[in-house]
Amino acid sequence: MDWGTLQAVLGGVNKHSTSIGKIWLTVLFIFRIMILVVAAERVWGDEQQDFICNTLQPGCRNVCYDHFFPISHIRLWALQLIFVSTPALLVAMHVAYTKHEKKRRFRNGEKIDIEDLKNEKFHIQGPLWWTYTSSIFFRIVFEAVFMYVFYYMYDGYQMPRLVKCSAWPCPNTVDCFVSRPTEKTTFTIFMLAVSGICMMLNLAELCYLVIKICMKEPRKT
Amino acid sequence: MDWGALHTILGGVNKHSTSIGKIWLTVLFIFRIMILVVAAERVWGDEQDDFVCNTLQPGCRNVCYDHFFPISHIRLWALQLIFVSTPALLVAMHVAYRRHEKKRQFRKGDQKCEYKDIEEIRRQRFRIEGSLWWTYTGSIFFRLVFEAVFMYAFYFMYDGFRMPRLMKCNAWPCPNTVDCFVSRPTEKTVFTIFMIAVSSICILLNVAELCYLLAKFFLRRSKKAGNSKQQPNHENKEETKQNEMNELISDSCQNTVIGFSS
Repeated sequence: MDWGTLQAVLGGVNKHSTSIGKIWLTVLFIFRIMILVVAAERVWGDEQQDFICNTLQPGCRNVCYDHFFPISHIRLWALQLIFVSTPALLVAMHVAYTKHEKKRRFRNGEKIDIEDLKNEKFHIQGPLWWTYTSSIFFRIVFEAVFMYVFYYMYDGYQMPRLVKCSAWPCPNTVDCFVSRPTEKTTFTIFMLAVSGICMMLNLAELCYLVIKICMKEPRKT
Repeated sequence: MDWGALHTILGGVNKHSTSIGKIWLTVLFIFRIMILVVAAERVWGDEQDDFVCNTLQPGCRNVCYDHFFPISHIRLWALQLIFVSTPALLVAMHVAYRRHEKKRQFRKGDQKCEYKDIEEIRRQRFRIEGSLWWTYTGSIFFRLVFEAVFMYAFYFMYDGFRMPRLMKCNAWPCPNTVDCFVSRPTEKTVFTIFMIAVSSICILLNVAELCYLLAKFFLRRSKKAGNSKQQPNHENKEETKQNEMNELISDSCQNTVIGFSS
């Protein structure tokens, strides 16, 4: 079970999304997951090995690394991407349930639109609209929560070159140097920017769906 | 999600490209992505481990490495390749949208729709004209811009394309000035120049494709203008031909009649 499997699972959801949803999915896979796998994991690969402290005290380096990097950026991004992708599965489950119901009714001999069932495209209306809209809402919430967690945990989005550590067993205050801080800052800002773009796409999709439902209501009346 | 997945996605775009576009895609995958994965990543693999500075001062090596290599070449190339491949997806999205529209027309039973079944729509290859021409040309333009921007970024960040053997560093906490030695500088220079050369070839292919599309567009427009002028003459030619045929038929009829009577 890896990113490829997630791609296979979410590819199926793509069929029932709006156009904005499809763009969001493409941005997610190409500019976030792919960048994470192909580039960011190499940048953070040696983060503990090349975290160097100006001391000979055994254990000081470990303790300082643990103090300043409670959860590594890479792991946080992986969690963020998994949480942000998951609400789409609610939609997939709902569609699967609707399909199952239609097949059951067809077998029972009820007249239903066979064309719709064959084409397997469900319009986003009724209860599916509510599922879809709430999945977008949860996506936005998860994105915002993780962006805030990043900001809170690392005091901003810049990776410092030097961190001063005075945790036990380090003697007094010790200078510790982070590995590749500039490259890490660049990728952090890049991932943040793409996260912002994804959030805006989600907001646009939410507005589109709300407008769609509001336009349908007056027509009915 | 890795280079293989990108290859799968872009393979689909290949069907709707021009011949030059197909050559570009092949060059991209074989001479850039494959070289990056198979060779360049090994060359740059030990870049920080084997970046050695002539000092015992802890932290000096980290700081000097960070000062001279803000973003590693490998990451810049990975970003460049992703950004340069992405405009092709605009074309893929446009084609998918057109196909979706044709399917919708077909299902509604539109008389104008000339397809016999839905499979034909799925397999159909769209010609690059109309709005698809604009999308395709726009995507090539963006590719050119991204290539140029990244080549400039390389040049600007590393003061040229050569990797020096020795760097003199005096960032804190290094004491005074410290000599730092780069790992595998010649091999890195060779690969940098190779990637720049292939990048330039890709730029040339994109420029050629752009010119080809523009030439095709102008030729089509002049043909349309030419056809509309010729229309009245064409009708006259048809009429005279018909007249000649009528005369021939009437002549032969007359001969037959004369023959019979005698």
